[in-house]
Amino acid sequence: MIRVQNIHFAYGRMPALQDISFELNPGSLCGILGANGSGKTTLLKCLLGILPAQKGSVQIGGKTLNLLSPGKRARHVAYVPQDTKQFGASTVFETVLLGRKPYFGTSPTRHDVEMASEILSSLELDNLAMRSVQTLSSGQRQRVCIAKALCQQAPVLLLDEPTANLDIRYQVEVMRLLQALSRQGKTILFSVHDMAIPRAFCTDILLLKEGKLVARGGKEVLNKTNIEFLYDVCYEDISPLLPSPEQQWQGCPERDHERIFAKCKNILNSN
Amino acid sequence: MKETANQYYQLVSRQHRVMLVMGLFLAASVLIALNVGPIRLNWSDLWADAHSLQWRILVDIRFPRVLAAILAGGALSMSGLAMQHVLRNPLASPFTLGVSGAAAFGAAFAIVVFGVPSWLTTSQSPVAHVASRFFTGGLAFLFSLLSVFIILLVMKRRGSRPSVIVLAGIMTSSLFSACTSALQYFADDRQLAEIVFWTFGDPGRAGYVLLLVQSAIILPVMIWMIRHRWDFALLQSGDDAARAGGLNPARFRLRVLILASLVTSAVVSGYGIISFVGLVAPHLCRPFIKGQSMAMGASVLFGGLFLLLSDILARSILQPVILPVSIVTAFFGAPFFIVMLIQNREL
Repeated sequence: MIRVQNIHFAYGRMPALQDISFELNPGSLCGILGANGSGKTTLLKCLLGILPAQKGSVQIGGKTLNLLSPGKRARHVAYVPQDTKQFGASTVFETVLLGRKPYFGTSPTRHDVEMASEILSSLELDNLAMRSVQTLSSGQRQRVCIAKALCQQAPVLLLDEPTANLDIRYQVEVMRLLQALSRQGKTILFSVHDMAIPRAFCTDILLLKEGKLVARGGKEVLNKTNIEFLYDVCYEDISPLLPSPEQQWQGCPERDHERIFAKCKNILNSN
Repeated sequence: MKETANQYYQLVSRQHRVMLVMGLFLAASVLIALNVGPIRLNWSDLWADAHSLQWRILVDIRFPRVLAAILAGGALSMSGLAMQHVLRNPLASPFTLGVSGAAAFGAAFAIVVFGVPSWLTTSQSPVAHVASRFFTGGLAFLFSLLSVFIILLVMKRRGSRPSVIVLAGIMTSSLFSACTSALQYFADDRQLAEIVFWTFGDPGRAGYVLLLVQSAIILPVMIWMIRHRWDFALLQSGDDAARAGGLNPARFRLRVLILASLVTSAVVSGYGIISFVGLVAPHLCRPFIKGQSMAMGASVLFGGLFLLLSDILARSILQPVILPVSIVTAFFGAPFFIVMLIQNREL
């Protein structure tokens, strides 16, 4: 369970997050929405401990994140950045194995290697294992980064716009994957711009405006009043860009991730 | 065991085999390097008299030279790869970032301003010789740190785009080169000769005392870098992702740059500027070692091999003249740098 209490963060004198509080239970798939500059990425970075909150606290499983060393923190929360491009020529397998770094010292153990192998298999990335990450498509790279985060075995997974730069097929694929993971007990938070995605997949939605949490709830929070307030627009002006979930996902390829994840439930469940 | 785990172990095994082959090539190159020089050694006579001229050439001149080439090549290649990783810049190296130039200025500063005698002075006692080496090396290290801090300052203000860092490196290098020229202008004949020799990097200045001191600095850093090879790999996906993976990227980057500067200073204060090894060797090594986990160790080995082969070439192409090895490495390195500039789309 993740508990965020009254966190406040400012870049210099510019407040970026003000008095944010919420709780998410294991199994939540939570989308964070808001206009550009509303504080979505800052919130994720505060939850991750990259940006230390100036007030308030973030607790995961009863432990306050800021009191933990980076290595121990990495066992509680994993992160998939928006930019998944990499420098260097790591293979897919090595990249996923890096998720085990918080657990091993100088070299990965046999257990670490086997776990990376299981995760790769569960995400159907076996055939890419020895490819250089640089040669992969955006969608494949995104899945590799998720696999690396899963290898960290952290109960909370944070993703910064995981569907940005992906075509519709990969967007659905990544979201189905996150949905399956949340159903296995992971708490997942991600920032997103496309409102159709949280409508179709999320159990929880947070709406941010100018660093403040203005609404929190299920799909019902994405109503006309909230959207107009959130983006300072007239709903009718943007409604053509807000297709219903049913329209958007019709005809997309079905990938049975839940069946795959059922096979390796023990691995994916956090410590 | 899963198929992919087997594939990974096969990859690791292949990487070990490649490193073994590199080690065999290095051993063969050592034998060739000991034979190359203006005087041809007769191996059958060599063992007969331990005080013969041939024996002295082998033990006092060629063997330390070979060891120095391997040590310096490995150190520069490791520093280059470490800089490329922590700055996420394929063009980073001690030479292109101006670290070598700054270290050379530090050494020249010690010679001209403090009047420290260097390797050309033979009348020193061994203690004074080592002390002067330390003082010269210390100043070289201080100025190389200054160049690293200039790069870090530029990174902080302008981001870590490869072109920005390389341009900052070129400017830093030019600045220290101008400072060295200014020192040359005011230097006396002996000092001038020493500085000029310094700018022609060459492992021919090696002696066992110097090798011992350098090894005491370089080998622990090599071990540290190889032990942290997975941290280097973790940093490849960006600072945020590295932090999420349990690494403190700023602290790690600073440590690596300081250690890489220390190693570069140890090499430069001993043998002068040996250009491009830190840039070329890691890139040439990469196709042989697929993946990142063994890249650091292989890069050390390959750097040693690369500089030793360059030194063999430097000693053999214009026999009996021995060219400074930096001329050969620059002949390889400069075109390689241009090809990389053309091929790398992110620059």
